[in-house]
Amino acid sequence: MGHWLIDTAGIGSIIVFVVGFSTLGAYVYMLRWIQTAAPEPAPESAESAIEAGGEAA
Amino acid sequence: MDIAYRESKLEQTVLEPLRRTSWQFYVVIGVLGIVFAWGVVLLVRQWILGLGVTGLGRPIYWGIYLTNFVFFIGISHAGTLISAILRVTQAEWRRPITRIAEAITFFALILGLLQIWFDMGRPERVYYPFIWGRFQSPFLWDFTCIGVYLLSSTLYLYLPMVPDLARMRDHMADSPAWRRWLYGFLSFGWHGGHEQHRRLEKAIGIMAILIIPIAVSVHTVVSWIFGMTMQPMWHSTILGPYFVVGAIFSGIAMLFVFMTLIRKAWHLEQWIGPKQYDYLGLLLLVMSAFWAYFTFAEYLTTGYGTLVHEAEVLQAKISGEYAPWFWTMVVLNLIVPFAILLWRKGRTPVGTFIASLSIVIGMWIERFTIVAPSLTRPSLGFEHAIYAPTITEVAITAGSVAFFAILFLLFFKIFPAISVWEVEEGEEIKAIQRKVEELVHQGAV
Amino acid sequence: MARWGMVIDLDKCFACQSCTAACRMENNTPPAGPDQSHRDRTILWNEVRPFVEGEYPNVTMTFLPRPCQHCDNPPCVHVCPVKATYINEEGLVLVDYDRCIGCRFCTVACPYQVRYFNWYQPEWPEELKEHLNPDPEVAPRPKGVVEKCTFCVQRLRKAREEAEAEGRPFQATDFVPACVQTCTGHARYFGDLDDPESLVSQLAASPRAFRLQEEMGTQPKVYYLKQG
Repeated sequence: MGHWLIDTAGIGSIIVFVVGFSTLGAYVYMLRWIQTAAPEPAPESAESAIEAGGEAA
Repeated sequence: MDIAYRESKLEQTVLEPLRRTSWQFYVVIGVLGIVFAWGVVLLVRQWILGLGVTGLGRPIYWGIYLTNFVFFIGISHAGTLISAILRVTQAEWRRPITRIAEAITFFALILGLLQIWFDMGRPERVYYPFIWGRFQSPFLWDFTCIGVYLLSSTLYLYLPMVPDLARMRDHMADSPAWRRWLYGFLSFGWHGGHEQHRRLEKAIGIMAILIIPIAVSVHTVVSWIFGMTMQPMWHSTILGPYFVVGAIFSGIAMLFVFMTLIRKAWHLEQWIGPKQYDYLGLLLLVMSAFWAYFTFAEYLTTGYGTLVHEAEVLQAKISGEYAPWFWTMVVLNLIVPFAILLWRKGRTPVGTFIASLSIVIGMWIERFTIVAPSLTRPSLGFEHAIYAPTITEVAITAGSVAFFAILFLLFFKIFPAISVWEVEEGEEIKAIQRKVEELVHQGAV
Repeated sequence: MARWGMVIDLDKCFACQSCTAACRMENNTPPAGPDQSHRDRTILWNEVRPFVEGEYPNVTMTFLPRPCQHCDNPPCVHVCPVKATYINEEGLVLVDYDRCIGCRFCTVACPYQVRYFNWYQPEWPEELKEHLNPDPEVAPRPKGVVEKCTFCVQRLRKAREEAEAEGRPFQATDFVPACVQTCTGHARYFGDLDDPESLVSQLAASPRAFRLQEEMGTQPKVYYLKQG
């Protein structure tokens, strides 16, 4: 079976496509994950964030 | 120009080439274009007449094109090392150079793949391995690994660009409509919220870690195209790691070359400064030592042994007709870099540029001395063969380098050469660190 | 199914090169001309190579007719990315010219240099064009593909078809490659290595028998009988 997997023409292509498309799929998913983050204003600057944090504490 | 938005000095400088094109740029593109055209003409001629127009023959069936393939794929490790490894180790000085490094990786991969296509006897059948692929062949391992690497390095170039693209979408009102549309499209609605930034940085962090083993696998399987045959001095167990070390070495050198040229041309001296040259110069020195160690180990082992066929190939390289290539390579890869970079005074833009150019040429020669000599002394050889490359191979090589440079320059005419938000983030981190030190010093914390 | 092999007796071979000429005429390999020959582009599926051993003044020279060795463990087949070269059930290592992409990985993997490449579109001078073998299996190959000795597989096919047409069982002795048929010194033998009664099997077991580069593990099916 092992030899059939590496010897048969076309199986190599399938492997390339399976690996390639899985990778592409994972990366598209990653991009979507970033794109769908809920908007919310980021702190204006580091200083104000420190002050905001200080107030919260 | 968005009146309410004030561009920082960094933004102004980095966006300047996107706004205006100097006459020098047109001259450079023009010259590169002529070299590129020369390569294209001779490539088309090769397609029409056949590979007979090269200097190849039996038994030297592989030559310059395979050398170029290995060379360009090697260069593509620039981004991986600088951007990924330095990110993972949190080396702050990487921030202004990651985008140049990632762009080099991307275009080097494309040029590398093109070389294989140029080398094929039936180029119109280039899609056959994707239909009748046979996985026992190292070429299929190449397609798998380089395919994943191409996808990964595209993402790794793209992800850190998004915040900058969004900024240009929002504030570069003076750019033409198609450009604003492009920035808008590519920044996929980026709003820069806290959570979104967190996710982006997480994704970049994951990619930085993933891309390192992917890159190692790429150059390892490229080496196995040679390593899996029984040709003398190809069938070597050290070939995998040797190629990876060589790739990182040549990648950093190429990064230096392009980084210095872009820095000069687009006045980025304030952000790509002495620190980058000092540290990268040291890194280059370390890689030179690594490369020299692997080379020495390989040649000593081969030379000390008594295998007849390997000894003949070794002799060809050390004292035979390939000796001028071999020893030039040693000077360019080891002597020149050490002579310049060992001293702090040498690790200046000019010094490192010379050392890097020397290494880039030396590493191309290294790939050549791996590919050709073994084939000139086949184990069942009855005489030594001679490989004399022709003008076709020279033109296609020169055209490929020109094409690489053109793609690179055009890319940075549309997208900023420095990752603005990352450099700003770095400066914020430095400011916070200074503030904290101040507070500690005052005894307040 | 047979396992085709060849034995070449180096005591009987006197390097007349008839086998090389016969192979060319049978298989339509293109003549290279003086310029291309000088650039190592000749395509001779069977070649008679001088094989020099030792160092002066203790030198021995043999002439070695060298067809494809048709290895049972062929490194060329292992590296082909599209299975354009393959080993069939009878042990013949063949090339599918319609599949070959011309990457030349196989030519570089072969430790015997038996594989050839069409660097240009093959051409024949007018006088030779009339003498091309009309068998479609050996039709001239296009530029950019690899080719090599097939143990005259077209003759095998023809012999099988003839046996079937005449209603008799096909025997291994029904066909020989052109080089074996032509050999002036009767130095070449051909047959089924899996048949212990065949001449090639018996000769291959001779104490004079050796194969080229056995240490490579390629298991070639061309045996040579040592000189002297």
